[in-house]
Amino acid sequence: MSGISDTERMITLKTVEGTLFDVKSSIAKDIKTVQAFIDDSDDDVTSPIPLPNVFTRELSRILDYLNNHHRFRSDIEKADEEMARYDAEFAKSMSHEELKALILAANYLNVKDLLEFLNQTVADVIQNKSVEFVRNFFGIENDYTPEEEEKLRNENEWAFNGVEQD
Amino acid sequence: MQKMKKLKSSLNGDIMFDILSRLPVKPLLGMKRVSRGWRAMISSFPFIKSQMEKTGLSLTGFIFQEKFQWCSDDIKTVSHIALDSQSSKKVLHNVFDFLPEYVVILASCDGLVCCRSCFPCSDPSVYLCNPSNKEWIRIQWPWHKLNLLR
Repeated sequence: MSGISDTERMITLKTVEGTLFDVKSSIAKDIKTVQAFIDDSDDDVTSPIPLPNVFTRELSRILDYLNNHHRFRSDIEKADEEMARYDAEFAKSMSHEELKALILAANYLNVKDLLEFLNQTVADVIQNKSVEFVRNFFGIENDYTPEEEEKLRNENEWAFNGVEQD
Repeated sequence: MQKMKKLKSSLNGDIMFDILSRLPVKPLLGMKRVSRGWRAMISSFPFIKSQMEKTGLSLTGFIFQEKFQWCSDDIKTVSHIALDSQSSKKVLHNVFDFLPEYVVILASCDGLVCCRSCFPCSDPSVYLCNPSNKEWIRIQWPWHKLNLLR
């Protein structure tokens, strides 16, 4: 930290594809994995920080989300309402595969608020879906025998009212 | 394509735990059918604790039982009316079928129900049960306390 106090320090992040992103240090604070890297470095981080598990598409979405949330927070009056609208649009703009990829990136980078929001989004998606849909969504093999499955179905029959058809 | 496959399989562990613990009880019970691993996770104590912290308790339905007016025998039928819109037209009578005998509902708290054997009965018991996951314990009939009350 040398005498430049009015311009915020910038940190450069590098994705798997090699794309570089310049990020304000106030935004980087919300990316805990990056912040930990900065804290662990003895001197100022000047070279790009490599993110070997994060793709350009995901990092760009994450930075979009963080930048917008920072902006909303600076305007307290409309913050909640605009943030809710932005979040809803943000979730809607992704396919299920993109949503999963973003969760993995947010998880690796440890962006807590975003991860919570994305996990809640998935919970809302799968809530009324069939068992088959959920298996597909998470890539889970059915390891029950048909008899066991039938037994479980009967046991919890009253839980299946209102399940959507695939 | 390779990339998609990898991503699909690695969305697991802590992430699935967190996602599932955000679901209300009813859809969660259905999720036990996904796999053995999911059933074990959903039934585990840490998961139940986390799920209750995240979702809180919500009113999902009413359990009620009628009483004869001129007779001390108990009515065996227990009715359940679900509160969600899709199944609200249905009154179920088999919600307590998982217990070994017919019961009379005594009290309920936070989703747990306390009930006793229907009278007349030669060897009555008290049950503490959770109708959502059908777990129950039997408590010995408190004979002496009952005598004191009389």
